[in-house]
Amino acid sequence: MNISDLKNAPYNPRIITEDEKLALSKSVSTFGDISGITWNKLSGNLITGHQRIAELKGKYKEITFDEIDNEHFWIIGDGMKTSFKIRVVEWDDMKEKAANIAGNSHTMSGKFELDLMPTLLEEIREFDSQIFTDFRFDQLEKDLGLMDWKFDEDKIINEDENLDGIESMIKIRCQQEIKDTVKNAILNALEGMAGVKIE
Amino acid sequence: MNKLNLLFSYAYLNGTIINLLNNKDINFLLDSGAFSAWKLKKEIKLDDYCKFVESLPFAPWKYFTLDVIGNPKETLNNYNIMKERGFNPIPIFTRGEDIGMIDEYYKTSDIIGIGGLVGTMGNKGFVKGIMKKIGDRKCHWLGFTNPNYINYFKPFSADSSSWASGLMYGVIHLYLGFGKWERLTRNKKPSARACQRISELGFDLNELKIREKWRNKRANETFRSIPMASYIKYIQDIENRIGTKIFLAIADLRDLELFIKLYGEQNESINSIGRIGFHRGTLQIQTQNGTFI
Repeated sequence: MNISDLKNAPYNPRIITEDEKLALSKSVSTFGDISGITWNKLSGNLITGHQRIAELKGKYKEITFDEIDNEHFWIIGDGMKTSFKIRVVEWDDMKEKAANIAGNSHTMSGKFELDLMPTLLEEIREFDSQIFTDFRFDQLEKDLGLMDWKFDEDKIINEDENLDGIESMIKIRCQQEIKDTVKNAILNALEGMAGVKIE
Repeated sequence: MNKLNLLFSYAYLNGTIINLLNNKDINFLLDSGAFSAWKLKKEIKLDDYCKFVESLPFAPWKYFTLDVIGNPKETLNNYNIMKERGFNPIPIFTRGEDIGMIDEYYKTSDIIGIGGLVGTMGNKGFVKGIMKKIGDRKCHWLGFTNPNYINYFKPFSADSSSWASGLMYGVIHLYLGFGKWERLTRNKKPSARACQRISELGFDLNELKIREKWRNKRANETFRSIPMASYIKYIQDIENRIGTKIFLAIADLRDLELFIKLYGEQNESINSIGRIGFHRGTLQIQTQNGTFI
């Protein structure tokens, strides 16, 4: 396998800002790869992978380890090699805590490119709607606000149709005491004139 | 990315603006500026308008006839004169005109403009009535871009100057995508999604936290740029989703330069943005120049 074989997925909907990229770069240089299961031998604590270990404990009766090198072990479930491996580190307390947060922080994990997601999710939904609900992609769709195009057709259906010209409004100001006289004079003068409304 | 649709009025054009509009990425729609002139109580002479169209160093995407606000007869007369002189403008059907003129206009043009829709009483009902007559034929709504109506009737094109309206009232209109907008004001914290969108558009969120900048927001490039960039994105989405081309009406060189710059940035960012992902359990980060770390 060559590095050139590792093509970027053209549909990859993940993006990362400059600030996030810088933080991630620092995390990689400080902690190495903490994207999998990482265990601190000094404290005995898991640093990352709590949920994955819980899942494996529930799935297998017996879990053992098969050494790959000094730092990495395959996880064996009921005698069979799983696809999970564990990384073993020896870190002090504060480095362990910092790595725990860094490994789960949204401030350096990038985000979904909102414009690419609808097509991608639609493709998956059409392929297998079970996957869509099993992996809670329907919830993801809601969380990302991808369902926001909403048009209200009722507003148009309920609107009174017309082909009228543009209406203009004339306001007449007068002294309070002659208001009724003026109003009556206008009503008399315009009585029966088409297209005129007096409010 | 679709082209940037811009509408400019004849009254606001000069040599520098025309040179900038001569751009393969821009659909330039020329308006006679009759509405603006009418508001300023000025008159545009038909002969001057015709000479101007002739003098343009490139053909605009399309251009309107010289309409006369509140005078359908004069508007029709101007259209007939322009056609006789060899021009091919978009005729404008104005509210109040004989409805039979719709079919007449379509005999000489594949598209007509519908005028008299801006801020007039009963305009929505009129759009509903006139679109029943127009049916599937091409039309342009002048100054009317209500999204419910655009989606329902799917006109060929429309124009709007509302990108500039928010700043006058101390509001920044931010487009979140998927037809949803958020109003940013000085005293309200933007939502998490708004923060993400501001950052995606390439703006510094911290600038919005500086209260003094809100006082002079119309002069501040970031404050002008957010609604501009938002509308560029919005009209792309509308065109992709509904098919209607919305033209952004602008009136000066500074806004034109900024629109071109922001459109260029959005166009470029589609292909150059950094991406992150996992491939067979391996973390990959592609930087903006395409390299991996």
